[in-house]
Amino acid sequence: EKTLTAAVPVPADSVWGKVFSRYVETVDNVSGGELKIRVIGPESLPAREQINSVRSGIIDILSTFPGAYRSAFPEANVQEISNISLDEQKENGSYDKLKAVINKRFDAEVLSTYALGVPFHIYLNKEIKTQSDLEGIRLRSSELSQALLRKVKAQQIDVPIPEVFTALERKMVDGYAFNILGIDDMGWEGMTHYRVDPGFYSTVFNIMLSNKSKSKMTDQELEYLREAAKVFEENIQIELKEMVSAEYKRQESIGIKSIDLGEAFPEMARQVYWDELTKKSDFAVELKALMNK
Amino acid sequence: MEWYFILSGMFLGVVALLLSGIPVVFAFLIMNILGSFFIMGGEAGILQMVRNMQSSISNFSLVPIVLFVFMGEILLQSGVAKKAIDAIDKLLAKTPGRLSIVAIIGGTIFSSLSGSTMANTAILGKTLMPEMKKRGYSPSISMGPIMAVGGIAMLIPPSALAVLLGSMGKISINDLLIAAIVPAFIIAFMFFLYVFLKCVLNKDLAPAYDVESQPFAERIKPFLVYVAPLVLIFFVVVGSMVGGFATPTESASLGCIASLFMVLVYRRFTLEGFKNSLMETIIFSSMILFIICASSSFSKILGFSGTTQTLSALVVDLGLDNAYILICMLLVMLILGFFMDQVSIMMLTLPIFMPLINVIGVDPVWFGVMALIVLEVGLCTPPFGLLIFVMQGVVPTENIRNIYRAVIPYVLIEVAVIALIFFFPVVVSFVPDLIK
Amino acid sequence: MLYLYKIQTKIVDICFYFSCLCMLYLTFFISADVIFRSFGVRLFSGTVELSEYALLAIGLLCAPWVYKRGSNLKVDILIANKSDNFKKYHAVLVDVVILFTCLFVFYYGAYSFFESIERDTYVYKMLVFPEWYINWIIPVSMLLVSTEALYRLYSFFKAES
Ligand code: NA
Ligand code: NA
Repeated sequence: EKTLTAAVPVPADSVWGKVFSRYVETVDNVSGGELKIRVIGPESLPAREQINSVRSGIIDILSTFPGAYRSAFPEANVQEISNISLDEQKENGSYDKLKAVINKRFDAEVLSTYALGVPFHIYLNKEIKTQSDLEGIRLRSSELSQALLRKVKAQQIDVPIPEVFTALERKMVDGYAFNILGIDDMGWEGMTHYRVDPGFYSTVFNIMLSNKSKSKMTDQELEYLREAAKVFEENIQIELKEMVSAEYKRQESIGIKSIDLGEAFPEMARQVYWDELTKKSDFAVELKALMNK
Repeated sequence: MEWYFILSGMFLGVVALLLSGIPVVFAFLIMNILGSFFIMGGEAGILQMVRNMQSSISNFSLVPIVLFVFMGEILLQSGVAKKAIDAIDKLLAKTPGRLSIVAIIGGTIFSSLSGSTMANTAILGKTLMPEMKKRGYSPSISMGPIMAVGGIAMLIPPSALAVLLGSMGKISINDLLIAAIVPAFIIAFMFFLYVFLKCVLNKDLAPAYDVESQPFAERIKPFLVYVAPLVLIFFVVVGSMVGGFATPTESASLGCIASLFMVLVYRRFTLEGFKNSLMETIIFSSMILFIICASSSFSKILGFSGTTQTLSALVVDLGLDNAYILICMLLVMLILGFFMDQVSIMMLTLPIFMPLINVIGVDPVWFGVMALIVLEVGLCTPPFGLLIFVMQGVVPTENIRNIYRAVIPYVLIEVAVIALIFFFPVVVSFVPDLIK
Repeated sequence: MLYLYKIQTKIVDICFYFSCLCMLYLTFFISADVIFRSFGVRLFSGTVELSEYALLAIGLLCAPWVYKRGSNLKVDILIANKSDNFKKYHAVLVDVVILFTCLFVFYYGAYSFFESIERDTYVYKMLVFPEWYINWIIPVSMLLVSTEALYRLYSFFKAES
């Protein structure tokens, strides 16, 4: 029996922490209990430092979102704005290109990618009718939504995550952008009354295995990890779909109303971000040709 | 390595280094270098620790700590605080242990103007200690109340630590601060009672001296001039936050501006005073931030090794009664308070405690207020107590043992108040309920 | 040695003044940001992040200055009652410990600094800039503290001999 250390950028008991624990369970099952994974969160390793730890082999496995390693991989966010499926990405070679970069820069193998199709939304505590109503509205700025909010001329307010609760409670901000499954964890939903539909972008988590750790593992153990990744990737996609539709229902039941801006909205959001990325990088241009349909 | 071995090794290591007289920062730093080497994986672990140091301190939630200290220092260095304390002094006239009572009342008032326990203690210490020494007050009623009442600054808004506790524990900061006000006044009143009774019973503790007797109208005038207008600062800080104008941190910045404004209004602004308040704030902040920077890896190493998780799983597995779990949590925080700063304690315990609190269905505000008072106790408990260090700074010649001894009765009073809140949660809940 | 120490003192002072500027930034710019925002004007993006880096500067760049003044927090309950001679040698020992601890952290801080230049890593938050813009702070701070400790030891042994 061997225990590996894995890190996630969110608390282990949050929704995304629990989703990753499904992989931990799968590894346990596939290996017949021979391979265990111990999960640590940002309280033990700061979210942005986790990528350095997987590179140096301090941790064996990391499941994180592209924003956390954008510092050394500026094009990382393409996964979040792509509108083709993971299978299509694997087919047309774009997935391999991304994997190669991660392998080179972070000395890690991508075992699995999940959460594609789990969208982000703008949440508001006051009603709007059209996209133009977003102009001047005070929204908490975040790295991922920055370009979009600039485009719709929202007033971006810098509020760090721990203060968002108070900022919403005191109506200092009118809303924020967040992924559909996350707001329950943050305790913000009591102050959230509207959700702008349809969602935009996509949540992405990549599970990476440190190449340094590989040298300490047997081929059999590596095989368990890879096999479990395949099983997990298939199952979690279905589970997440159910979780997302359940979450829409739940939000409706607690009185969060939908404001529909039409399909043009997420499309615009995607193009704004693509423009931003392709402006600075040729690699992004190359990826856009493959990943933007 | 077994988790209990890591836990005791890290703890005893830091304690031993602290007791050997190495500055706090370096004691933590040495233990963290060792810890990251052995637990996080050799050289790579140390490199990671150094990187973590940087990210631990560049944290927006810590900004109010600096700003609330600055607020207090502005009032202190300009002499506005001294004027205010003199005014309170005048109002009190002939009370047994007058200067100690002034400290308690003044400290409670300044708690609403400064979110920093350290600035609060420094204000009282620098203003009252020389006079107390001159008048021959005994340590237990001079240094004791000054240190203890300083801690009330973290219960009454604005409070840097309450903001931190609320954000980290996802407790409504608003509810937390409102709920903490009544316990804060109970503590202040108990301090008052203790000093008063002690001075009545033993006249030698605070030798009486003659004060000019003046009519009440004469005595209240300075109070109205030098204390009452300071309420404006309180309104700027709390008002901007409650009014949805600013985040808690931003309200702290506005509070500094309001303090500067009041200093200008009193015509006490001097470049020299401003420079001094800036310098004092920087010294305090740098010391504290450097400690946070060096000690934050401590909790990270414990977390990384799985020690904290194992410990909390163990607690849940025991299947104890809620009351016991709560007592255990508060006890853990109390014990940590002997060795660590408040921020580190929160960083270490809240990630374990808060989920547990939610699971066992305890009111987080109730727990939050008790936790705040426990943290406040930690400010005064030796060997590591920030307020003890502040007092040491005010009276560098004083034997440290006397400082320790002076604060004990007040620590016991605070523990008694925690027990009161524990058995009668209504103490915490009735004001928030009243508002709703 | 004395000449080098004078230079070190200058640098320590510069770091201190830089921290003062950061402090003023926190006081005036955050307020200005709030006030302008209430009129719907966004003065700067990234106030939050800049304040975080200001904290980093205040905490670390001031540390050598605080150490120079000898006002670091310490628990001296066991040392307070010892003889002056004991205290003298104890202080030397503490300085030796500080020297090595800080040199150690300096080494790894510098390593991390050069690594971030070599890898060309960026900080991607609301503001985007090369990571070494902030990575120099730890090594510089640690180097200044260790040179201070070194000077103290030098003075001690010079006085002894
Ligand atoms: Na306060
Ligand atoms: Na303590």
